[in-house]
Amino acid sequence: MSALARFSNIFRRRGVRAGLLLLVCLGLIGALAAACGDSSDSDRPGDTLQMTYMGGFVPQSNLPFVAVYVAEDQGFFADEGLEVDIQHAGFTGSHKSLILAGEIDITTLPASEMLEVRANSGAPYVAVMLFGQRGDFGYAVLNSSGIESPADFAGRNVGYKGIVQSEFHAMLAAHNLTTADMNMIDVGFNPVVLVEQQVDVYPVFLSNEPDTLSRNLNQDISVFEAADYGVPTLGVVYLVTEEFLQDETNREKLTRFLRATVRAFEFSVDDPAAAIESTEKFLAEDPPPDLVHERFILDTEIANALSDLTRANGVGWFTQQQFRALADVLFDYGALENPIDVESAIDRSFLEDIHR
Amino acid sequence: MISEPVPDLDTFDAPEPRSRRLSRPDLRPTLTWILPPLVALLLLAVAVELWVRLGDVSIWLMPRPTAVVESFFVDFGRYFNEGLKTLAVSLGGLAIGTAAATLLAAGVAHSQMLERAVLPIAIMVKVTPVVALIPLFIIWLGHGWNPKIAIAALITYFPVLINAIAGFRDVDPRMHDFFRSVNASTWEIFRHLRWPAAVPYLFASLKISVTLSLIGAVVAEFFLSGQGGLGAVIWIEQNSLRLEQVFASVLMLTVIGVTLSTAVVVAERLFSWRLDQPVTAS
Repeated sequence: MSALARFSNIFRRRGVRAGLLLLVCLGLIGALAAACGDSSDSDRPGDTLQMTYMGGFVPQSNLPFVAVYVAEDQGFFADEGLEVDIQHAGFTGSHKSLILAGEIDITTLPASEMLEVRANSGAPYVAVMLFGQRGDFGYAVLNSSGIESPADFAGRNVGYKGIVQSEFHAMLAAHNLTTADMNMIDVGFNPVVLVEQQVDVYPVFLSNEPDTLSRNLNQDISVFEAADYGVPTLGVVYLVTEEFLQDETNREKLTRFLRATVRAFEFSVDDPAAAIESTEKFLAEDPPPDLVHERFILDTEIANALSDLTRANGVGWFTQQQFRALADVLFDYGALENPIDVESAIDRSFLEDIHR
Repeated sequence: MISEPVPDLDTFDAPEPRSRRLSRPDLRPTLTWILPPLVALLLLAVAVELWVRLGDVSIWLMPRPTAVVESFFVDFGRYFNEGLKTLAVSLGGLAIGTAAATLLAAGVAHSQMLERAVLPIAIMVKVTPVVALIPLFIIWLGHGWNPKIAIAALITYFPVLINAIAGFRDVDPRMHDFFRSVNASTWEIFRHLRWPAAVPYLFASLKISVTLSLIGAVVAEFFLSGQGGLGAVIWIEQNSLRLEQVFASVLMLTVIGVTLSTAVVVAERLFSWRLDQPVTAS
């Protein structure tokens, strides 16, 4: 019997024929699946990637936190093939160190603080997405105080929280004033000092303290923001490290993370009520969260995160000029001990790919 | 009827308290006194240095001890000046806390009713986290040094109170009966019997409270960091991730703490020796 005839006999056996048929079918299914995958998402590897995110405070409705909660709850991370371990630093500030030690992948920090730590300590932070197009600090006064502009701060008791912000110095300079023209008082973190009129001006975190003062403490207040007087200010950024960005897998993780959170950001702008519903699942249950307050935080931060720049380029957008202007103010008033190379402190390439 | 002469209480030689006393103060710092802690500290620093260097520990999580020591000496003037502010708050709080606790203990030692009324409140204040009280103290006492001193006092009073109560009550019942039998006044019993008995207890509590007062001062300075002090330095440098400066501040706190503790030990020896001397009428 020839070799060909022997092969033909083997092929005719029923079991072998069935096995071959199965192999061909599996091959076809595999090819079809690969073709479909290519056509729908050509730049995404199939593997699920893990990532650790740490919010820089306790869980609450700050937009950089909400974007992560919504992305997780609405399945945007899952769509990207990303599993995100969501953590919070609480009151410790540990996120600033843990990201440098490589214990977490991405975290949040106000842009000014990011620049200060990078310039003063050499921490290789890199901002990859900007939420607050304006700073998150303001200066509250009681409407009964007669203060109608920062020019009226002269001769008054003005509170500060540990450190007088550079933007406050700049705002005073815009009115030809310095802190020497007023009585500066270190007030800690309790807005009651304004209600009790121990100070005439109280520095507030815009996203929550005005609500506490007006709704919980029943005060009629006005809030002055440095940005309204031409002072360049910025809010919170997502940041990673230079070392993190040197790894290709990390860059892929970051791309997926930002794509999902940009989507969640847009979702939150379109439907803040639904964003709060997603957020509620991540808030502490005891005591029950004050959802009106949480909504105030989110609405305030959404308003601060949208500008002509983001409307033209997409949410989270930023420019080198914004960071340069902020760094100049920080340097002028001593917050930066050394000049900083702003270009190396920011990386917009991920957002450019996402918004292309 | 047999009458005994009534002793002059002003020249009465107070009984020996139950705790051991040195008859003479021995204040000479000896090698056996100084060397062991220094060697232990050095070994700990070497171990940490090796751990950081060989274990590839991130400098953002743990600074090298050599870098800490370098920062300590390079910026010594800053740590010293800020340390003086912390020391002032600490001593102010310690003085107020100790005085208040001693007075209260003296009252409690004489009155079971007062003890029942006051001790639960004292315990309630003790178990309240001082961190939660600081913002309130700032509102109540202003924005200067007062709230910081109050926090230091609050954190120090409890060990003194408990020890002082025990000390004031640690008198020989026979001696107490004797004082009563000679019609000694409450003040005389306190001065010649209860106070000498309480002194060792007070010094024992001061050894605890003196370091607690430093902790209270530093914690308060976290909240009022604009006024300086080592707590403010730690808070500011921690925010800037300059861990060498953070640990150098802790090193200065250690120096202050050891100095204060040593001062208490020396004061105890001096005071105990003085108590041992026969009391003469003034």
